[in-house]
This record gives sequence, C-alpha cells and structure tokens, in this order.
Amino acid sequence: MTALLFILGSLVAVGSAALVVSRKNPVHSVVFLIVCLLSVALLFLLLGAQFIAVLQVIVYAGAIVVLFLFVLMLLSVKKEVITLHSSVLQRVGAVVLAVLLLAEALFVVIMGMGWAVGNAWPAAESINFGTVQAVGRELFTHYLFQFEVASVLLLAAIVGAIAITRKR
Amino acid sequence: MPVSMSHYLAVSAVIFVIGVAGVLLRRNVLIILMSIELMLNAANLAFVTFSRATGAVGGHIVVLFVMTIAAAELAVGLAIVLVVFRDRETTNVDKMNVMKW
Repeated sequence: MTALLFILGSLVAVGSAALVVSRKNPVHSVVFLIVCLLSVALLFLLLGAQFIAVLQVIVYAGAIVVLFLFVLMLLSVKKEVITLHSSVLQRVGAVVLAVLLLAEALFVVIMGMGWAVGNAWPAAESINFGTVQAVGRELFTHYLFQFEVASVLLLAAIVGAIAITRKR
Repeated sequence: MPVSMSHYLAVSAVIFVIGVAGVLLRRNVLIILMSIELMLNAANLAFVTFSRATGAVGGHIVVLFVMTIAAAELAVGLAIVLVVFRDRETTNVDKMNVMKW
C-alpha cells in the first residue's frame, strides 16, 4: 500500500514538474505546479511529516500559487509573443548540464547508500513524530532565535515588496 | 519492493534537476520563478527524508524555514517582475538585461 502510494505520488510529482517547465502558457504551468506541490505533500505524509504536509498544502499550494496567479493575471502576458527558446547553443548546453547534474545526483544517491540499504528505516517511528506538537516543541525551544529572525525576514520582505512596487 | 530512503532521494534529485533545466531553458521570468520553487521543494523532500531516516525532527524545522524564505523571495521577486513589466512590457529575461531605466 505504501509502495503503491509512493509510486503514484512520485510519478505524478515528476510528471507535473516536467509539465511546469515545458508548457508555453504560464497559467498552465501554475496549475501543474499545484499538482506537483500536492503530490509532494503526499510524499511528506508517507514520510510521517503530517505537519509539514499540511503546511505544504496551505502555504505553497494556497498562498504562493495564488500569488503567482495574481501576478500572472495582472501582467496580461497574452499581449506579448511568448518565446520558449533561446539560442540553440544555449539550449544544448542547458540540456547537457542538466543531464550531467542528474547523473551526478543519482550516482551519489545510489553509490552512497544503495537501493537496498535503508529498507528498514533506522529510527523506530514514534507515535508523535512530525506532529504539530513535536515540531512546535522543537521550534519554540531549540530554534526560537531562528524563528524570530525568520519573522524579521518576513517583515523585511513585506516592506521591500511594497517599497518596490509603489508608484513614484 | 519496500520503499527505501534512496527512492525518496532519487525522486528529490529528479525534481531538482527538472527545476534546474527550467531555469536554464526557459526565458519567461515567471516560469523561472516556478522552477526555483520546484528546486526548493525537492530540497524540502530531501530534508524530510533524512529527518525520517535519523528520527530527528530538525529536518522539519529546516523545511519550515525554507518555506518562509520561499515566500519572502517570491514576494520580492514578483514585485520586481511587476515593476519591470510596467516599464518594459515584457517578461522575457533576455530583454531585462539593463539595470537602469
């Protein structure tokens, strides 16, 4: 059952990710981005990260994608000619580099731990691993300072976004 | 076949490379931003996988911060895109190569 869900989630995630970067219409890309984010949320659930999965749906598939769509509608990209490709040399170089990076990453994953190792997950799954309680306790004890810094960062981003877009 | 840690990491690697290819291949700045989101998501998946493998909840915290960074980066990035579009009427990064206007 878990294996089936994993195969479903990973195939949908990879497929929709490929569609995000290959569609000509940016609106279609955004829709496939939602699909990709939701299937990654499913993978999070399979890994026992319930809180992160919920956050993924609310923050990513909710807020961030809505921001994308909002700006997309504001820009009225229909008017301009959507150019998919740059020069041939740049395209070939990009594909070669991407394939090399993929080979490298998969090599590290497979050589580093092998397909069989890690079949039995090392940590015994405790009953509240990844719940709001577990993550929240860690967040507000060990990572309290970083949490506050993140809030300052968000404030800076809000002020920055408003300052940049303000008409002068 | 039981699902192992390597499978999750492989999925994460594939999604990350798709994001890299998107940044390198596409010239629409919105698609490039979406590709960056894809890459951040792949990193999140790797973090949660390692968190599950070690049994420590620290990886989840990092994912939380990555989401914060992603939201902040996207807000500022889209603001810049809006301003440039207002002036230049384009979302093609090859036509945004001049800093002054």
